[in-house]
This record gives sequence, structure tokens and C-alpha cells, in this order.
Amino acid sequence: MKDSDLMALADGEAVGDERELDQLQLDALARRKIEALGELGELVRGHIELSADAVPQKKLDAMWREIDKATSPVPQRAPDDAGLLRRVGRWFDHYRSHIITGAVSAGAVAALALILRGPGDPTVTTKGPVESMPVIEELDTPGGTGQVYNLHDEDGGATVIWVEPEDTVEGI
Amino acid sequence: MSLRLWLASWLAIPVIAVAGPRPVQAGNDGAECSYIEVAATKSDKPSIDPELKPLEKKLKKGPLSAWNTFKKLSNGAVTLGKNKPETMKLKQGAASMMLRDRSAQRVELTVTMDNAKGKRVLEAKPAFKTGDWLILGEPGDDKDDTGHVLALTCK
Repeated sequence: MKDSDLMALADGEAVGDERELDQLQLDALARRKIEALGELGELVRGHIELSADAVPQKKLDAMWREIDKATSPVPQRAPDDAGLLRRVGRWFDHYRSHIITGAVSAGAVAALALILRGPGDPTVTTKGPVESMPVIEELDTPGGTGQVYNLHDEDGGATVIWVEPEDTVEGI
Repeated sequence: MSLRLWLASWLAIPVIAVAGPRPVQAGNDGAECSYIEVAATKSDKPSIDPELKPLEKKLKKGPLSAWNTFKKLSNGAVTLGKNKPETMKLKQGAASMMLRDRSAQRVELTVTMDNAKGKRVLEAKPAFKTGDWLILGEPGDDKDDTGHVLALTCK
């Protein structure tokens, strides 16, 4: 018998007719080959089973989870109207152009208001000591001389402009 | 009202509230001033008119201490508008005040004072703190230790 026929018989793929089985009974070499093929098959099967047992259970579980995930149907998305923020966001998305129009209009009105307001009055700020000092920007004392004194007491300050008539000065 | 107009209105309201016309501060364009005219002299019996109480301490200082007797001649209140001169008729002469500018804490004036003979003796542009006094002192020209004082204050 050919080796391919023996392999088919050993694997159970071929049953063999009566003549082939008689030949097999007579051919010792062929019988040993079939037994050797069977033992070799057992060895390979045992090796594969041992390898399968050697894989950690966690790894197998993870693999199964991946398989389940890949084969299970796609979960349905949460309803779109869930959550106030999502709804507000959707509203703004929907009315984006309206909001932009409103903002631009408000900006234009504010700019107009600023232009119409003009510089306005200066903001009232606390004056520093220098600015709170009295100042005589111009002093004219026709026919006399003028002197300026700054007085201060607990009642407040006073600026004295002392006008001395010319003839009195000359008299001194 | 369309949604666009509604949105524009509601966005504009706070913006206008912030950037809109500033409220005019009461009295920011003017000043309330008062004056006291004082006759001064040097005597053996020093005295200060009780009506000069607000000036009492100042009358004892500086050049004013050359006199020791003070008597109120007249007083009054003047409302000043910006760049509008106001004349004060005094017992001895006349004076005028004009508000040039002001802030919350400071007034800038132009003041003039004429003596009893109608002669201009002083023209000045003082700037001083509101509530403080501006005292114009003029010794008599007859060398008899008399004097004429005009005290002004503005708020």
C-alpha cells in the first residue's frame, strides 16, 4: 500500500475495502507504519493540549472578552436629549448665527454709546498730597506786592494772599 | 419680535449699562462758595467776632497775626457756574469770583478784589482744596494798623 493510503487509513479518512485490509494484515511494515502514525498523532495532540493548558486563564478570559465585544451587536447610543448641557449645546449650535448677530449688534451699540459719550468727566480719584496743595497760578497786585502763605491747622488749610500796598512797602 | 432681535436686545442692555452715558455728578459743573469780609485792626483789647469762629485759628497765624481784633463786616454765599464770574458787593470795595475748573476735591478760581476806592488791588488764579480757605489780606494804606480781609471757601 502507498504511504498516502496508509495515512488516510490511520486518520480514519479512509475505511479501506476488504482486499486492502487483507493486504494490511499480511504487510507487517504497513501495520507498523499505521501504528507509528497513530502514536505520532497522539504525541502531537498531547503536545497541543499541554500548550493550551499552559496559556494563563486570564489571557484566555481577555481573549474571550475581545471576541465577545467583536461579535456582540453595537450598543445603542444614549438618547440625544439626555443631559441639560447637551441640550444647551445643541441649542447654541442650532442658533449660532442668531447669537453672532446679537453679539455683533450689541457691540455696534456699545461702540456707538462710547462714541456719543465722549471723554466725559474724569474719574474721581483720591488726590495725592502734591495735588491737594494750594497753588496760585497767577497773581497780580497792581500798585502793590503780593505774598502767599499757606496755613494749616486742625480745622483745615488756608491760603493767604497778602497784598502790601506799594507806598507801605516803600515806607518800610 | 424675532429671535435675532430678542438676542440682540438682551446682549445690548448690559453693554449699554456699562458703556453708556455716565451719570452727571450733582454740582460737578459748579461750586457752592461762601465768603466773609472782615475788618482787622490792632488794639489793646484783642477780640475776634464770634461769627468768625471758622477762621479763628487762622486769624492768629502768619501775616494775619499782625492784627488782633477782627470784626465781621459782611458775609454771603455765591453759587458759581463754570467760567461765569460773580461779583460780591463788599462793605469796603468789591470782589469777584469765577470758577475755572473743579474736581471732587479741588476748585480752581479766578478772584479779584477792589478796595474801597474802587482800585483793583488783587487779581489771582488760585487752586485749592475744597473746604479750605482762601484769605485775601490787605493792610490799610494809611498805616494805622487797620486791614481788610476777605475769606473765601468753596465746596
